[in-house]
Amino acid sequence: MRKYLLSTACVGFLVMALPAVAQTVNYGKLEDIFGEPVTTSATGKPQKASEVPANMEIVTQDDIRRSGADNIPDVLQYLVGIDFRRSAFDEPELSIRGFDEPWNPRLLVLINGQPIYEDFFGDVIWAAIPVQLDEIRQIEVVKGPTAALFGFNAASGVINIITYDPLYDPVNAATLRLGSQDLKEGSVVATAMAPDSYGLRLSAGGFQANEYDKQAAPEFALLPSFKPQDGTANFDGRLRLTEDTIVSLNGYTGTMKRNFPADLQWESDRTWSLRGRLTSNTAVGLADFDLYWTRWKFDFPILPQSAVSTTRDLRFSDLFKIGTDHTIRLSGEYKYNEANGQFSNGSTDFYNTYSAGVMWDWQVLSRLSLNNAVRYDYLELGIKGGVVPETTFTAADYNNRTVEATSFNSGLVFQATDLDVIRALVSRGYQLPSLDVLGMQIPGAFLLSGDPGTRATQVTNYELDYDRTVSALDAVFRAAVFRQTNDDLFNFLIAANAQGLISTNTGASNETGVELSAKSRPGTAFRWNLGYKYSSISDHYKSASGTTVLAEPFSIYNDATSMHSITGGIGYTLGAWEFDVRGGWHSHYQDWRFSIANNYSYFPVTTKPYATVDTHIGYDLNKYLYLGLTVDQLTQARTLERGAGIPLERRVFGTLTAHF
Amino acid sequence: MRLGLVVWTADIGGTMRRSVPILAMAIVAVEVTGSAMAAQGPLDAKAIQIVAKTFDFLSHKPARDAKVVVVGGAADLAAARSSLGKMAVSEGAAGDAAGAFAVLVNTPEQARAARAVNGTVLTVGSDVSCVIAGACLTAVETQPKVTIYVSRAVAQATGVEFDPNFKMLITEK
Repeated sequence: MRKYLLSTACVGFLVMALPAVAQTVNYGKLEDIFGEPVTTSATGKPQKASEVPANMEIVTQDDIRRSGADNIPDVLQYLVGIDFRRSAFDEPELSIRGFDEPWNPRLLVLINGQPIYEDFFGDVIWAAIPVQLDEIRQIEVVKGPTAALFGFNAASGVINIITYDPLYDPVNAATLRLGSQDLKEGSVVATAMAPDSYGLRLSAGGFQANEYDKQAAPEFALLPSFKPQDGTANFDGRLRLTEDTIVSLNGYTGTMKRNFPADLQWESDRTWSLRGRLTSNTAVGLADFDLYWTRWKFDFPILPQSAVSTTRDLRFSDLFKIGTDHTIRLSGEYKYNEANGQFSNGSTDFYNTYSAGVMWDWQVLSRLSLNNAVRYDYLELGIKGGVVPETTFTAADYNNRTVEATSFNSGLVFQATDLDVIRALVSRGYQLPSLDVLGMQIPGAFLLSGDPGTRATQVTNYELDYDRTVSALDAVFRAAVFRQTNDDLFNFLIAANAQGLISTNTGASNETGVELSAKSRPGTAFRWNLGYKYSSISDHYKSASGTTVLAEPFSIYNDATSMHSITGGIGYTLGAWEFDVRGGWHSHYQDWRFSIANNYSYFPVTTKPYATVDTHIGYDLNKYLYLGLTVDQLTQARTLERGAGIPLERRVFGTLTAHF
Repeated sequence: MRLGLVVWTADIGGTMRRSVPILAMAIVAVEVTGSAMAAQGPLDAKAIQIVAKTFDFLSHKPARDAKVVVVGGAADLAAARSSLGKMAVSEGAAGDAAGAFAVLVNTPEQARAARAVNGTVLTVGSDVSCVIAGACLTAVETQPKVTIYVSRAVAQATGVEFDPNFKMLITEK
């Protein structure tokens, strides 16, 4: 750790020695000027949302508040192209464009550009995300691989959570929620700042509630009785060192305990992170040095001791213009991940990843821009400690293993008229096998073994988008057609002798999709949106020794995603009142439930077509106090099966937010 | 243009290659028909507000009471006074640019005249053609969406520097 800090400091001094003028992205002021959100999540370059070479949705703080939701997955669940399921009170899973499953490792979630997935399983633990809803400026959802910017695991898409900036945004709020399931939830966000000179934002929050009714299926009787809960705390500081240079330091911790019905067990996790960043405008461009350290600790009932994973990441980028029409972004990254403890029989699996990338944005004509980005990743796998002989692998199999991946994003944006925009996109990203897939080794009568030779899944997306502004409706219509191929998927297979599980590459799965959406422009008292998604997924699995038996059948993707989904919302602001209704209808899909009675295996559970409606009423009592009432599943039966997990119950809760 | 299409063709593979020339022709057609930008009227209240906000992204920000000259009819004077806060906004001629922080002009000639008097004055055009002509530093379009044009040559000549992130969002000419 020390050497990274030292090198960053040295680079920082070099940068500060150069002539400069600089600011970090002031999202609020830029949105105020251009009348639409600004984002860097598509290319790394600040862009207006309407001009990005990507299919992107931006959810604003107003959208978050009006949704009435108390967690991020619920806020995002009705976006077109988002697949959502919840298998327990605190076990939501999101995916972009299908391929949803527990431990979804295909989605990269970031807070202000910092990845927050845990590297052992490669998934996102939403409950431990260290951010309060009141401190989020916007959530940027990029559909399709964005690996040329973010690297491994930005395979199906990216969700970048952008918080308010303590250098510019004085956010102070305290929120209390009480409701059904004995929900008790609270958060506080406080900012101390001298605008444009320094700022510090502190936040903390947590909840506790009753689990949904586990009597709904006999399998859930194995789950222990406790109250799902989480708690997080976060600090985010900025200091303008000079007119030209800003340093940031932020850190967080989070803890959670929840049921995990997919495995019929509970889990309790903790995470810590520290991040330092230096941004400076230099003679050679806008330079950004970013260093973070993250640690996760997992506790499962099957493990006698905790499992721990650690990440250290150093990133650099330089953004500059050449002439009036060309923007270049150069980037480099070094990342170290390790996982030790109980999943690897006491050994430590690790990898070093070295990456380099370049983005080139060309304003070809006043109405035509072309963006090309390419990134090369080189990964070295290794192991410290022994390898269980029964796995048939040796330490050399780990220490000689390397993975090379070249990802790209290419997008042509054509402003055909003042009202019409056409985007042609093609991209390729890689889903890296997580450390459990590469290095798990749990000996015993039933051996669990990763395979260090498992290849990364290659995800390629071809897409054509069309945006049309409909002045008569004061709305924007979007149509998107895409074809996505996934090669070298991986999974755990039941060994030929049925004496264990081993990870391996299993084959391919391809998707053809259509997305249609229309929504009113922001800022109108009457607001609405309507969307439709069609998704057709076909698996092409290889057969090992005649039959392929997937130990985790969640990756039978062609049945796991609704083929048709219709989502929408309508809302109205009347003086101090806000009324909003959101909902959706989804065609059937198949999930899997684990059963001991069923020979310790999964059996399929089909979710029938269903519709659900959520409502929220908000009232500004005065400039300081906001009251809200949320009812989820308003029109449904009291419970609703959305997947094979514990059936969901209607939720009713009130919100009181004080702004100070 | 040619290079861009070659790169794109290489990326998307053979199945879409036939459609690329068609797309290219459509793009060129729109570019030709759309290149003759309609002349704008005076800067309205919204445009003035945006101009005022762009001052926050200058490396050298104006004094709160900086002098701003509106050359006859270039902008809604009342809106300018309202948007520019405590700045000393007055109506005048290009020749009144001495000591001014910014001058709002109607024509490239007025912009050049103002810069002849004050080499560092910010020249804000009511029409994008003034930027394209290399006379005005900046101009703002508000329809169909906000576009801020900046003349790179004028910026260099007057020593004006914008925030680097802001610079990524403007259209340089």
